[in-house]
Amino acid sequence: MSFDKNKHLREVLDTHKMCHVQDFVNKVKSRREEIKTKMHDHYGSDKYPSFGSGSFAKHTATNVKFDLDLVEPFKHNAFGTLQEMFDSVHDFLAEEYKNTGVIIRKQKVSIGVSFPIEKGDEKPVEVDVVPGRELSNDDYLDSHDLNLCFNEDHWGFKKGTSQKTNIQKQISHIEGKSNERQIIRLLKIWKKQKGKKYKSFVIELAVIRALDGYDGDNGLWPRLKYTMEYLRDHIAENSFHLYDPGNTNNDVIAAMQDYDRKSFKSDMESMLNNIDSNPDLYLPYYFKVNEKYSGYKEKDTGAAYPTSAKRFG
Amino acid sequence: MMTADKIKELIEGLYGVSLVDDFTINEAGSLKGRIAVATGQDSADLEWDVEISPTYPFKVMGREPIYFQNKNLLNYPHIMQGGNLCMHSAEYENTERQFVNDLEQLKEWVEKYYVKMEKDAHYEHLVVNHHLICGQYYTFCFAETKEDFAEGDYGVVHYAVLPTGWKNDSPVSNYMAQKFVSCAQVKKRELFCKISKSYQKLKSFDGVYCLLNGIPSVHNKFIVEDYDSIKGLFSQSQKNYIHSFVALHKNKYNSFPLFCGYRIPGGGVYWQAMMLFMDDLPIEPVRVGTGKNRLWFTDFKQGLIQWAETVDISYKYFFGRGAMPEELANKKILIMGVGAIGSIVAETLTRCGAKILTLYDIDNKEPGNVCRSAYSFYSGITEKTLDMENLLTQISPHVECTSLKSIVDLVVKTYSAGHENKSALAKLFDEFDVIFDCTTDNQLMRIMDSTGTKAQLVNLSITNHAQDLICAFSPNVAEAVLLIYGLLKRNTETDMYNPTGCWNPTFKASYNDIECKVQVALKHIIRMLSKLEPLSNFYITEDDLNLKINRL
Repeated sequence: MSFDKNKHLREVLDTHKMCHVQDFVNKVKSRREEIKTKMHDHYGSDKYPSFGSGSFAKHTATNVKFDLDLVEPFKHNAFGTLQEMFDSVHDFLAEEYKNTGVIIRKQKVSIGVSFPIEKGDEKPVEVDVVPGRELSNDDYLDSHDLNLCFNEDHWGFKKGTSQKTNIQKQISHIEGKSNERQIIRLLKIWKKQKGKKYKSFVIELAVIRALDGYDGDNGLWPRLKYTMEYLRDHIAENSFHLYDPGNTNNDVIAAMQDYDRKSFKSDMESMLNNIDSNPDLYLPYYFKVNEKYSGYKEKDTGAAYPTSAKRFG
Repeated sequence: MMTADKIKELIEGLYGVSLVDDFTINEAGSLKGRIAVATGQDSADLEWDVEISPTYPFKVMGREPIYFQNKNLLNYPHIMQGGNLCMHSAEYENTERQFVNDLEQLKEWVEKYYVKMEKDAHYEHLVVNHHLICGQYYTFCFAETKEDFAEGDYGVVHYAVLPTGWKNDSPVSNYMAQKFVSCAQVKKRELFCKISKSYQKLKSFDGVYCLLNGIPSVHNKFIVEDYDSIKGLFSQSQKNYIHSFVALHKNKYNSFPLFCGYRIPGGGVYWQAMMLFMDDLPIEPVRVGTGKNRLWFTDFKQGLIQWAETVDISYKYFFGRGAMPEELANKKILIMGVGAIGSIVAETLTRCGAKILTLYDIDNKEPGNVCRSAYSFYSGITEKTLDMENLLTQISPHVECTSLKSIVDLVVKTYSAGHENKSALAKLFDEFDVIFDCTTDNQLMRIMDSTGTKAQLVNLSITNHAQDLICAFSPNVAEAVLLIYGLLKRNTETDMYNPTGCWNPTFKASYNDIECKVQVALKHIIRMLSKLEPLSNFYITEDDLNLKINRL
């Protein structure tokens, strides 16, 4: 009987669902609420209500990699500069969690808050706080546009510079696109498992673009294959662009290194060729089931590595 | 075969060339004559003496079979000391076509360098004729120094002795400059040559160096040949220093090199070395004034300079003809397992310009290893890492090569046996940028995977008979290796080489079987690690004609 690619990919998605780590997600949510309250109490009318973002908000999270970010939209007149805003949030959180074992660090556009790992958990609860400032006084409520502060070189921007974005638009860009989200999750699972460094945001936008108008077989494999073929054929082309829905002047492809675009193309090419030649072997290699949450499969008892008599050097 | 009549006929048929004196055969059998090459409407033709050897058109012992000579053109490019045009013509099977082509090339030279007065953009070192000096040749290698020299600098050059060579039936004494100790100021200053510590540690001998105030050249092309022509390029302090060095070392050395440096385009210093012999020194005391106003200083006597050969082995010249990208060459590389694959990897990386290599192995090199690895028999039974360190150091003066103790295996595995979380071991490996794992140790492979080290792991192994080569990169090395071996399904256990000890058969494959695949793999690995090619796991298979790379 031939290998059922759709069934395998379904299992990959199922075993990577967030529900398997619900207790941990609840802990993260609870910590996020805690930070939200502290921020509200401290900054009061200097900011608008905070909201959640990251892969969890976009429904593209997997239980091996997910972000529950907290966006803090500040009023325009709350700070003189974006760097002051960024530093203020960092300093406030650092003071608030002083001597508690919580690690506060400045990241590219956010402040990372890492709580001490709890017994029984595999990793610590981490929340990224993303401060943003409205473009002009009272503009935010209508536009939801925010300027983020780049705290270090990022996407070609230097420390202290800014980039306009609109996180609500980014979230709504992906809303209701459940077919696309499945493929996004599969590629993000591949990215995580194989240690690829491509940006998740690029994958999200590229998949949505690839499947725009797709009316082929709705099985997971045909959709994934179609997307991978699209990426293979376009991602390294000079004429290919992907614009941030939160800022249509921001071409996220233009910010990718040529080498990364060629590597992405090459990855898609190899995967398609190998899966085509031997799907039983290669599809589970590139898209692995999360054995930890695979209820009906034998647990890993140690891989049968080739004995020393077969592998030589 | 060329004859005087044939030459006349060919020249008559060629535009812009005319015969001045008919060709005749001299006592050595060569044809000699004189021709003229047109230089333009109103200008006089340029005359050349021509000598065609009896072997024409064959080049013998590296010597061209035809010479065009004009001693008045020494200031022009590509005219050598005897006035000969240095030419390397295209080769033709037909003698007559060869002659016509040689004349065409002569015309091209006249048009380009004589009529249009063009200069070459690239720099060429001075031409130095190396003659026997007291029955032997002398060769000094040097490399750029970490710090620059002050103008007019002088002092002691420390050099090490390398093994004696042999050429033209005479010995070649080979030396390597290690450092320059400046004595121009009261406080001595050391300027180390950029060579590996292994060469810096060799026993040193002393010579003198002086940074001249000009280039010791004739026609800006040839080295000066006598002391009269060079003495004006030394300062009086430098000449006096040579005298004081002689006074201090005359009972220690019979001879010593005098390194004469000069700036070359780009700002570096090039060194020529003359050999000075204590019993026939070319310097003498010179008296100026009389009575109380009498002063003595040192100057050169008349005579011919005995130039040794010098070679700039700075990294950019040593690897000038080919190397891997320097960004990768600068990385810290660990090679774990220096057996057949690992030794070939180590040697190849060294020849490609690697600067920092660390080796690791638990085994000794034995005579049976030699047939399919980079080792030589001569060094006998010794630890593989030690033997490889020696070999790599001999290959390149630019590689710093060290080894990890074999006990690392015990440390890593003892820790791993007692700890579920292996991330603490990452510290051990994080000091390297790239780690080649050629051990074929499956347990080590899994441990390395689980450390999550920042170093880029490159795992290499082959199947029996070197039928396939497998290359996997971190992360998840073991997963890729498992997949590929499962895919290849090589049933190889039946044809093994047994006499290596109880329960310890080894694979069968020749050096050629292994090396060709390792080189193909390394070609891609180097490109991948240099971001010139997408990085991906791959395996190399072989059919009757080709090697095939399969990417994952």
